Amino acid sequence: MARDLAIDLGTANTLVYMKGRGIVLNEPSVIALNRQTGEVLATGREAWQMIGRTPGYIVAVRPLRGGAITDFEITERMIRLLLQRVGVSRFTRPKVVICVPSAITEVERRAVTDAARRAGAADANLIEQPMAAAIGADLPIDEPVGNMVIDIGGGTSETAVISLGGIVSLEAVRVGSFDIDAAIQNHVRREHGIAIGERTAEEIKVAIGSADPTHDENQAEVRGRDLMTGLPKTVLLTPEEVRFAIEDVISSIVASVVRCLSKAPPELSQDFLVRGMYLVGGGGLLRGLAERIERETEVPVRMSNVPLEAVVLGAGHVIEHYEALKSMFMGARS
Amino acid sequence: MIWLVIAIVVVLAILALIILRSRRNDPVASFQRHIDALGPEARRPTVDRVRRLDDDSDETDDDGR
Repeated sequence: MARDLAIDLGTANTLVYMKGRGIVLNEPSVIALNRQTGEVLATGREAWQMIGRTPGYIVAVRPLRGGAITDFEITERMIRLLLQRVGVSRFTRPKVVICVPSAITEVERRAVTDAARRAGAADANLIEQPMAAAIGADLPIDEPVGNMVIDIGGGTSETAVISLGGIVSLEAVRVGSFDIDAAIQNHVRREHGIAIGERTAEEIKVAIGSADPTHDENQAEVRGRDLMTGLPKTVLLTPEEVRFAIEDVISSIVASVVRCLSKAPPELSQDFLVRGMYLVGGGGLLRGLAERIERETEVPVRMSNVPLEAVVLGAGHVIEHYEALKSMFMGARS
Repeated sequence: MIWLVIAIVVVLAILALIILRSRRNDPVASFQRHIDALGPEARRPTVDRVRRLDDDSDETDDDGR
């Protein structure tokens, strides 16, 4: 008998929680395929290392972009491989709970649940990422008080107000930390005339990226390909110009938080001033982002203790209390 | 006589099932179970399990490298 599973199917990373055991898998959501035969060559970390470095016949792709499934067939193969890696076979059929962005379409919902069932799940249900994040971040969502969670992932940013175990208001934008990387890539190309890959852009973001000025600001040396000569070239990037480059993305995230706040009932709004909002997700780790949201909303922003694992932890809790919490599944309430 | 005992047992079992099912479908009880399952006490084992795994992997990192 297989142990039931919770999966955080993120644009950037996929995490799997096994009932009774905890997190058993945490890897980038990347799959490498042979372009000619369609065979899977690698998944996870191994495939991630291939991004931008593959010969012509290999393609390393992320099947999810902007919180949406860009390729159903590849997504299904990735889910099947994931389940195989954690021990699911034709003879062991676990129940599976999958966390997905709340903005997912009906077609995408069906695609994900069908993929999980075809991959060997006895039953597959979906739960919204901000709801799972609130459970995983240990917010008192069982009480009649306003809890606000901001989940900034690779492709989506979702803000939710939760009270008494349910979502009161929700705001999602298909913008996340990959858009920050893309903005840095575009800026370096436009202003410095050099092309850099998405992994280099991510390294720049981690090294000197910020949403608000910080205490320790250093320049970064960036190596890429000169667009004019085609030769390798090095340029210096300052934190100010990275902030300028990513401003549109940051503004869009902050605006969605403000919209969610404005949709919340007044009785719950006053709770936020005391309890604050909780930031989860890899995108929330960007320096100065919490301060920037706090400055623009005048509501305290706190970082979760487990920003990267909060979503899968929440879904894991749902799988541990499956019967009591199955009313939380997407579709169960509608 | 034996048939009477069996019939009584069957009737009692059916009654117990009906009562159990009606309790399970009771919206108040169901909502209470939902809220209880989200409480801090119910969530502690999940959080502890992950924390324990984190501690184990940290120890492995320290020793293994």
